[in-house]
Amino acid sequence: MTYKNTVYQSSRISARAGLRQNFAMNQNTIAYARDGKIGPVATFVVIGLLVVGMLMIYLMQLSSTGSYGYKLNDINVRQSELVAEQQDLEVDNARMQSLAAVKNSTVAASMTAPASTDSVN
Amino acid sequence: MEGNRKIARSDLLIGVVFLVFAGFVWRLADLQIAHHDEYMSKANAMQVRSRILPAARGEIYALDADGSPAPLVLNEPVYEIAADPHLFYDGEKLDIDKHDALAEILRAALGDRVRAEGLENFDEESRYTLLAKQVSRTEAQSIQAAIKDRNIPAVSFTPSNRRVYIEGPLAAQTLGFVNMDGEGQYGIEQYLDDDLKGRDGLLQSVRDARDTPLPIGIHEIDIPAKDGDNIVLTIDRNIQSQVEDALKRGLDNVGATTGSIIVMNPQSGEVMAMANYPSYDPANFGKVENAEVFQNKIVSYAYEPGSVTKALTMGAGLDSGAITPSSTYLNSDCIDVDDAKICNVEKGLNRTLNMTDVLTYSLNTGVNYVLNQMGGGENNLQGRQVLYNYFTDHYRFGQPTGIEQMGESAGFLNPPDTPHGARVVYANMAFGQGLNITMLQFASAFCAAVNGGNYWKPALVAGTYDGGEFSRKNPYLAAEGVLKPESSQDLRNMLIDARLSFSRGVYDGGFRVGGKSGTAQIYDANTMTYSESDYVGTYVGFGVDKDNSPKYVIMVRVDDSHAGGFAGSVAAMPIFNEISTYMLSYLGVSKP
Repeated sequence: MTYKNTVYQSSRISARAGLRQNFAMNQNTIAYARDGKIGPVATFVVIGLLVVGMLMIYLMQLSSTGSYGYKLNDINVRQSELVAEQQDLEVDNARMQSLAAVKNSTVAASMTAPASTDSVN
Repeated sequence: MEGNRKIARSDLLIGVVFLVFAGFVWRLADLQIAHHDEYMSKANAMQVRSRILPAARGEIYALDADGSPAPLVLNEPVYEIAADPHLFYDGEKLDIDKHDALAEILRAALGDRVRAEGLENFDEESRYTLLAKQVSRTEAQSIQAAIKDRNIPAVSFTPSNRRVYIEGPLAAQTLGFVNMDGEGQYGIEQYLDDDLKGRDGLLQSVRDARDTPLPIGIHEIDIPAKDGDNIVLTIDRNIQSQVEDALKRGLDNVGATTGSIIVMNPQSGEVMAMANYPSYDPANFGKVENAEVFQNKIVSYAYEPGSVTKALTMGAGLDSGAITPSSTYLNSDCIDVDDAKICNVEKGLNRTLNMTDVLTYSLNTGVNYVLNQMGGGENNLQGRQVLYNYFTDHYRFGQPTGIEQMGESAGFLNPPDTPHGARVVYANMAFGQGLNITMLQFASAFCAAVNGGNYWKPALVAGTYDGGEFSRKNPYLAAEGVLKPESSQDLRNMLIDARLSFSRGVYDGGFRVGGKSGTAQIYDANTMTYSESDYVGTYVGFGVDKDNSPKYVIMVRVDDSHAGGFAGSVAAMPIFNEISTYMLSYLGVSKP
């Protein structure tokens, strides 16, 4: 038979038994202490889960940045379309005010040349 | 006491898990550290793409009657349509329905402009075939909608810009054009190419499978394009249009085929109109057969201007003190200069005449009198040096003006001590033969001679136009004292009187308009003689407001008149008269 020298840390009240224990001298009181440490496998798993969690957060950030990229791209495409439309409208507007357009307009067609001209100083 | 200890199952499990994770860590280290550069470059090659952001080419404007910019050259968006034939294949078989549907959509929208060879080149290995170019925005939109309806894959629309000439062929040689490579050719487009083309931008970023740029990673570069400057010319579109019409009509009237006109503001050197005939349409420059038509002959063609030069010789004589307006001399039909005879066209005026008569009757002997007087009474080195100084230092012949046009000629004139018969050479130079000057050089000098003696650098660019705001640049006074103000005044009066005498007051309705005609023989380099049948007719003149300041200078040249008589007065002067009448009204010039 072997004995282990074990130091017990005891609590005064055994929660399981619901009994008040007497820790006076010469009392053969035994209480089983609970070990606060977790096992190595569990430690490893917890650390692994923490690392994976941080990676997930990083990936989420990256994805949300990427999603901004899609929004940006949509806006840029729309801007290009509007710029092209504006260029077209500018050209149409300029053509309508060109000399040829003015000469061929109904207003010009209804004008007549003066019979005579003179100038006033 | 036993020393052995059983290995717990949990320890075994820990060991296995540790080994597995160690394997992972090793592999990760191998991929991410040992082979970091290799995989990064592969990833970048796949994901990171660059795209040039093309800069929009600057627009070109003319001036309208109220001085505001009026568009001459704009850009319009156009598209290139291409397809990826590989994506039309299902295995090794072409999807004929989709191909034919695409062809049908394109032909319905574009007709003959669809590239037939593009539709035929639909090999499975091919990843690109060009289907149409220069497709307008509205056409591209309708084609895109139709393609989307029919679910046709892999058709791309690549945007670019095309130059649009709002006023058609107006001021074609002055403007130039832009070739297929986007480079300006001739005229303003080439001269100011660097300012007009701007600076392309660059977009480099990670892209997804659909080529959408994503703002992640360290490789992002976003340099926006800087569009070209929008240029406003000094050309007035109304005057330019009138001048081109008058030139064409005037040439037709005398059976001529080529000619040029320049109209300048003598108070600023700004060019209000610049026309050459024949001309071309810059929107269809590829159809031009003779590239000579691209040149602006007003700046690039130096020629012997003939008797119009007598106005400037007279100005030099007045300013140097050699003569006054009332100086007289005994005229004869011809004079001898060394072994040459200098004769007048107008014969029979063998009497005492004054300097205004010299201009009225365009007397070669008269301007030789002026040259002689510069030399103290004879055609000598002193007199020739005086005339040469006026022609080069005052009037700035023999050097480019620096106007914003390509191919400007400096012209040429002989120095006063030329070894090749200096006296005869200068006897001819006094009336505009034996020297080569461009119309721009002459008109600019003439402006200075009649405006009080200020030489304004001739300019075609009035400023820039950005965001609806016109920033005008100031004209540049290159020199003062070309002629003294009183000499300039005398010259103005003499030219007005000469024109009045010639026309008997018919042309100008009481307005003060002065001018001088010139009919120059054309030098034939092959025979090294002057032609007896081919002449260049020129007329240069100005209109004066009631404050005695000239408001416009017009110079007309007709190269090959087939009408009888003197080309200067028969061919060029009527064109001048028409434009001068228009300018008096357009600028609101008042009678004295």
